[in-house]
Amino acid sequence: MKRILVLAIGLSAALPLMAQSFPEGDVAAYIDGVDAVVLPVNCKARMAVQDTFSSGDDRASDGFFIRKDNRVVWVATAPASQKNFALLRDQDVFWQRFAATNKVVKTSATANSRGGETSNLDLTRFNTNLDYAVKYLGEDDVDGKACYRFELRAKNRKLAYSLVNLWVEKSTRIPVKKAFFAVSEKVLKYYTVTKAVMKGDHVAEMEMLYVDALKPQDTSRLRLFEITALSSVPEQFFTREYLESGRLYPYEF
Amino acid sequence: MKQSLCVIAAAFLCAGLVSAQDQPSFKLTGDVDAQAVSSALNSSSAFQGITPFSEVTAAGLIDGKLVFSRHYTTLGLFDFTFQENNVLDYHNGAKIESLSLLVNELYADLNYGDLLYLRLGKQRLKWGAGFIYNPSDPVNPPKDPTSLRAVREGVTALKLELITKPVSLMTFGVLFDALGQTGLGTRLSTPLIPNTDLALSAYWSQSESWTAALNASVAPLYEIPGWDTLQIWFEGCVYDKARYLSVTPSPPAGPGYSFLTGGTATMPEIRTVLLTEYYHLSEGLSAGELAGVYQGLRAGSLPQWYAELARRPARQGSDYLFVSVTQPTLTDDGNLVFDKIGLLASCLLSLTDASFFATGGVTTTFVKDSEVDLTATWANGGPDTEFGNALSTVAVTLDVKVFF
Repeated sequence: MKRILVLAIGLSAALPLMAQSFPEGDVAAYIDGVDAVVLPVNCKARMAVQDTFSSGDDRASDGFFIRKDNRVVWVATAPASQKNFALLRDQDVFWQRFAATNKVVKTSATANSRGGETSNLDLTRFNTNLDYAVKYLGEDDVDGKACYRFELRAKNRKLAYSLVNLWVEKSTRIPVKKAFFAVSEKVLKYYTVTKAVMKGDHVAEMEMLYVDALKPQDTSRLRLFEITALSSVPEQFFTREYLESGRLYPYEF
Repeated sequence: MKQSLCVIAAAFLCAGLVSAQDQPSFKLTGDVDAQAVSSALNSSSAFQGITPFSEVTAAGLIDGKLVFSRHYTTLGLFDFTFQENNVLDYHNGAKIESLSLLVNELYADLNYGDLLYLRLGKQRLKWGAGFIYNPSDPVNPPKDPTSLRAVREGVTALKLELITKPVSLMTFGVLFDALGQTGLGTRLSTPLIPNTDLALSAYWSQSESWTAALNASVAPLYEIPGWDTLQIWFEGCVYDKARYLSVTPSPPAGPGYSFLTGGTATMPEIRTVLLTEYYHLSEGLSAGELAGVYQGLRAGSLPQWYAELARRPARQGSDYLFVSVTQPTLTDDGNLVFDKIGLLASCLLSLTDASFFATGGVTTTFVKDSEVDLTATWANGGPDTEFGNALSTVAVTLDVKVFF
């Protein structure tokens, strides 16, 4: 009887753990796949951001970016005063190029150089496993979509949000919702995917709505479109020297 | 110079024709700027009557960049400033109108694969780490630390760049009007030391002899959140021949040197940007020498070409300190008024003679793609000091810019 009791207690204790085991195998490999659905490792894409504030003020900015794995260069094309402003991430170092002078200086990862709810990280971090330790939390439902839910803990707090909750739609592998937490584990902001156009297994266009958790009327609508895989991207694009030389201009994409 | 500009323009157009089959395009960006300046004459300036002064100036400027590109790579650029200047004479109300077109840069780019880059034409060559002034730069036209409008004018040069991740090498030849001024230079830069960018440069020309320079910028606390915007930099050089027009009885002999050191930081959350720079020029005059020159000019005992000093702002003495505080916008949370107002205050202090040049300004961006700036400058010091002899003591500038 004793043995049966011990076994029953052991099994009931293990049940939650068993429920947490990820049905699609390795979590890290799955998350890499999720990243690849949204953006190929080598690619270019356009980005449009519309900030809306509770005061009724609106701000819009457009740009494009070129990605090579963990390197990204983001160049502004609008507003007119910010044409040629650029943000460069070379692994864990961030640079910005001033629109008028081409001068390039180091900048902070968490600053929002272009303003609004999107930080430099939001514009340039696309490799989840590099920045976070990922843990599977279970299944969940977001706006009627069946999702897997994950917890992302920052590996380096300078380069990532302390804690992120991620919901991935099972059928498409699109990360349909993300909630970003402060060190105090209070929600800072979250985004939900409001539109996604698929081309085969990959996203061709995606729209996300970032919401300030403390001031929900303050939002940023970020649209990724013309996402195009590139067969190769020169290493030089991601050096300070190349950015300062003014060769990377936003006029033809 | 005209000939070399023609050659560059031809190269620019040829690059366009060669690439015409691959859907290249020309795009024009820039701003139209209406500017009004009102200045108060410093009646005790030693330069009064020697150099031109206008109490009221109205100018219309077009700052433009015509870029020729294919996909996202530039193949050529034409950077220009077209200016219509109106000087109002307050004695009789007469208006003097002048038109000018300044070619800041005009160059064509050629790329050989992903490593080697060639640029031919009028271009600004990358040299110093300094923000307001580059004392180690022997090639480009010098920046004016008292002017908010940045100098973008370059020099006619052929530049070859090899850009790789660990190290970049730039080699260039510069063509001036006189053959003897033609120079050759090279710059080796590397980001290999963590959080540091280091560059070694060398330049030689028959007229200026040799210059060797070191530039470094460091972000010492880049790994610490909140402190990662702190950056410090250094630029310094030694050179053989005296560069500046010497006004001392015995011009300095032997190698000269100059250096600049500075730093900047952005305050987290409030986004205030603090910047400070200090520079030293071994050729700069001492306080006593400067006083002697100004007294001589006032007494008429020195030739008028000494008035050239007035065209060398913040490069007359030996030591200068610059401090600036910038608030990009008062708030950044969608406030309908304060999100669109920015502030700037700066002071350039001559440590040689304790005179100063202060600037304060307000920038507003209430209308989309436009900017209205109101700036006031104030120069002051003793009667025999550099900024005490600035032609205008106070000047107020109103700028209305429309970006396109």
